[in-house]
Amino acid sequence: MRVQFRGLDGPVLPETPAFRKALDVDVARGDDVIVAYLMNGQPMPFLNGFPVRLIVPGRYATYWVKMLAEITVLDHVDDNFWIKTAYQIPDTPTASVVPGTTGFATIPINKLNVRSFVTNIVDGATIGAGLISLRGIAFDGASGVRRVEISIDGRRTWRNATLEQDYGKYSFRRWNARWSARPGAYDVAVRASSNDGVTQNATPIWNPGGYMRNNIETYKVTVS
Amino acid sequence: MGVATAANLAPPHGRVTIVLPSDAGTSFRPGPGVETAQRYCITYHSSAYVSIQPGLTTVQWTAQVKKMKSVYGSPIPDDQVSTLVTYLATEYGL
Repeated sequence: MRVQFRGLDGPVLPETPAFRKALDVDVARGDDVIVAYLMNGQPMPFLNGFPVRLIVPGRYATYWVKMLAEITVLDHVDDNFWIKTAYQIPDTPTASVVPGTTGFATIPINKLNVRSFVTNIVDGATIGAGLISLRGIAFDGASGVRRVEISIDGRRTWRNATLEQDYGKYSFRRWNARWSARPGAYDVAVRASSNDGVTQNATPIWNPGGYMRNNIETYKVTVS
Repeated sequence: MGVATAANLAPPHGRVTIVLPSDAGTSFRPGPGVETAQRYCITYHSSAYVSIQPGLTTVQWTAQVKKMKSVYGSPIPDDQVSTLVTYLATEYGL
């Protein structure tokens, strides 16, 4: 069985497929999936889906139907365009195929994969030498963040960052790391591992939609 | 989630104005054919949806425009497809 969700926003033209999303009934009935009418204690803002929207933690935003108006239980697989045709990923362990491949089996996009970023230094930055505090975020869709590591030598060697407060497996996990930066050119990188044992890779995955990109982010930094 | 009180459950009423985020992007880059993009593409998505993604080749842009016609029902006339593809491949090319 599937549970299908419809929002009030319709297509501009009648020729465009109307937006519907569906979840497996076991997912939809989970404690984590909620119909939200408040955000931060206030009525849901219009652009966030007033008056009520679906929240599907750990799954991509395409399922977070705004202006939720109708919930339908289906006794079959949902065959509407936005599940059957759009938002499809390769049915492979990492949602990846060789670039240019066609004809592979696909499934609807589902859980977020593990990912991390440095948030206080941009690619190409020049910073002063000395004790640097690197900061950032990591997140995972299903199990939460177990570990965050940083590298300053182009992903050759890694050391653990300090994980900050754990607000739960679906939350951003803030991290920080200290770096005694000496003058020179560096490739600063961050990678996260999830509690279910997945670590970000250096090589990007590939699929036609560009979905689920989560390769290790590397930032070129000049220390002066 | 905290417990809601009656006060903060009161829905907005009267006239409500929505301010779109500044990064939504409603203007395509100037260039020959921009009027076609401005007329037909904005029906479906922001200009930022194009500008924030990697550039595409003429062949790839042709496939995208044809998809917008056949799958999403864009009313762009057949005789303006090449104008739009040339514009996109020039301003948002690989």
